[in-house]
Amino acid sequence: MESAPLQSTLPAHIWRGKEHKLNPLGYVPSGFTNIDERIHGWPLGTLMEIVPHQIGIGEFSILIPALARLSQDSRWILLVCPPHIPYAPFLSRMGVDTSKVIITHAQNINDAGWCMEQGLRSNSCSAVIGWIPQITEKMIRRLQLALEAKKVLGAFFTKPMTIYKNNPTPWRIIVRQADNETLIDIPKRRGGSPISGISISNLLHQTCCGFA
Amino acid sequence: MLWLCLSFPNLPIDIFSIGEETKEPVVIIESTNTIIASNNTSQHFGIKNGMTLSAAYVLSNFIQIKHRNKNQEIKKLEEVAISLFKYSSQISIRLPSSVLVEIGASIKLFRSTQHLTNQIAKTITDLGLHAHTALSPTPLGAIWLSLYRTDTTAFTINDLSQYIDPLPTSIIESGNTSGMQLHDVGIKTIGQLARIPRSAVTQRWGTYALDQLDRAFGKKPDPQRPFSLPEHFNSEISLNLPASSVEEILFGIHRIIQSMTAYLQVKQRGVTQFELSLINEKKLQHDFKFKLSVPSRNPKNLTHLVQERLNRESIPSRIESVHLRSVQEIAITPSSHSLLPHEEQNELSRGHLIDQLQARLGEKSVYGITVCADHRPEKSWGETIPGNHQQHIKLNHRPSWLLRIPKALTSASDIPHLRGPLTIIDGPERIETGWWDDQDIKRDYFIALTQDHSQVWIYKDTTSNHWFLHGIFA
Repeated sequence: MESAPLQSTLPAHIWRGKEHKLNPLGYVPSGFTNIDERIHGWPLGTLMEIVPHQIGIGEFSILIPALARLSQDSRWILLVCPPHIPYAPFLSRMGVDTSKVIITHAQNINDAGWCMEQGLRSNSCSAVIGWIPQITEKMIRRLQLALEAKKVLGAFFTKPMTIYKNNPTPWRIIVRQADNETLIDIPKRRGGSPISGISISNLLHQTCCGFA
Repeated sequence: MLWLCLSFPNLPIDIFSIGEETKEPVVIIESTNTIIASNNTSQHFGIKNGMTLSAAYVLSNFIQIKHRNKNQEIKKLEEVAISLFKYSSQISIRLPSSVLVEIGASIKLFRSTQHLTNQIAKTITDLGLHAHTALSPTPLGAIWLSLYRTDTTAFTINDLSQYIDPLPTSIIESGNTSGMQLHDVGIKTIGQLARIPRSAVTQRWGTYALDQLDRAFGKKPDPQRPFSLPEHFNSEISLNLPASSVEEILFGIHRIIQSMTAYLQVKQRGVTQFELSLINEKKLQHDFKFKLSVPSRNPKNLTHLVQERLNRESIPSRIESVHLRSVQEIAITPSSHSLLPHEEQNELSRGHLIDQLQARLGEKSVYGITVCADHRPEKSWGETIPGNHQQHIKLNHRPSWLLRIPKALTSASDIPHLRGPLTIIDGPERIETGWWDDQDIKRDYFIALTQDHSQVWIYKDTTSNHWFLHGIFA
């Protein structure tokens, strides 16, 4: 309690160790209680790098409830170069308004990066999600710049092997599977300390039965 | 009434010198091989209008010759007229090279004559033209003054005579058909002509000269034929030098798009379909058709679209001119300041994003998705145009990724393998028939887990007993 007067005399811009700084642009609820309670949801206006340990462990599904919420907005949800067909019956069942979803395919990595950047800059997307396995550091910086100060959910998925590569993204999310549980590690997030092992254990179960 | 006349004595050459001034001497000739216009560099060499081509060759060996293009000159004047509609509703084109604008009614709106004429001058400069201007209460007076005494301002009829009187009578003679010229009998200025008894003039030269004089001084009505907008925008510009890359023609494209947007502004319309043609030296034409999802008249956006598209496709080499036509236009109501100004803006930028992406990636690479009423997995979704509204259909549990082509799996003693044997956790869900469109299926779908805990959607074709991977629960 004695530290209280000292804290109040410190200038506002001095970082206070453990204290978590909230994302100025807000968060979109992730739809998972564990995530929403610990980190408020997915941050807006901050680029997220999502690294799945492998394909098919619900790595895309972690964003779906947030996308469902964002699709109520009049803006687009832009999916750039998804590896397979984003299956409309699934999205629709999860409450995503598929009329807001646009899918783009690009011939090369530059076009894919350009697509994401246009989406982020355009002010007409509520979410821009890309699958660009060979994304470059330069491209990430461009995307972050385009996203800065915009109320947009921006994320890209990388290949499982890029876990060890240190990309300049403000947020990194690792999705892994352990004993029928999907776990999320956040080794890096702007304004906060790393978190590991957030369990969204019943994710697969929930996907099986649909969200309430 | 106060008429502003904009005359373009250099029009024959102005229509060619789009872009920066060339270093080479350029001359425009008519059918008789006489020079009718030339650029600054040629004038520096001493080449003058009215010279024959052979005389000009004596002065410089490197002359670039272009033939006069009267059609395009008229087009250019129309373009000027279109861009001036924001200042006045009464505009008429006077061939060969003048545009008349009645600005008397607009002065109050633009606060002062000076302010208004300055704005008009800026509009003209933006079009890449140099105008000689004059103001007069009569249209003919304005034309004469703009040709012979540029920058003259006469506000009343009484002011007019002091400016017009010293003008040479050759102005009138251009329309005179009778043999004897006024100039030849010693009547050198308009003032002198006005002082001669009227009967004497008509006796010798007919009524034409006096008729012109009366119109110029406002003694006779001089109605002007108003310029009206064409049904569609259709314009062409010639490039200064043949161009082979997108960067080189971009300047011209930007300018022609600006003209189109000025036209659309006046018509209060937005373009949804337009065609761009690039014409090369051999007069071969390459057409590019553009379709927009929302009507637009924003020059920046349109130029961007064209640029992306041209970057993607191959363009012919040595392009000489650019042609732009609007094919379909839709009325855009001018934006009103609503309580929620973002809504409309949003709708526009939503459509613009699609157009932009399609321009670069191709129409087929940008699409929306929808749920279809069909029980077969590959037919229960479909590609649509972005923003198409979805049907409400009761749905079963489905994976987030569907493979476009099911992947055949190996199996050992009827246990499917994908990175090792799969463990079935849910199923079967039988999906079959489709006899009505010859795509009959007979499948049992299962949800299965791989050894490394990936969840997949697989099926067993019950006719062939083969296993396939059809979806991934990503």
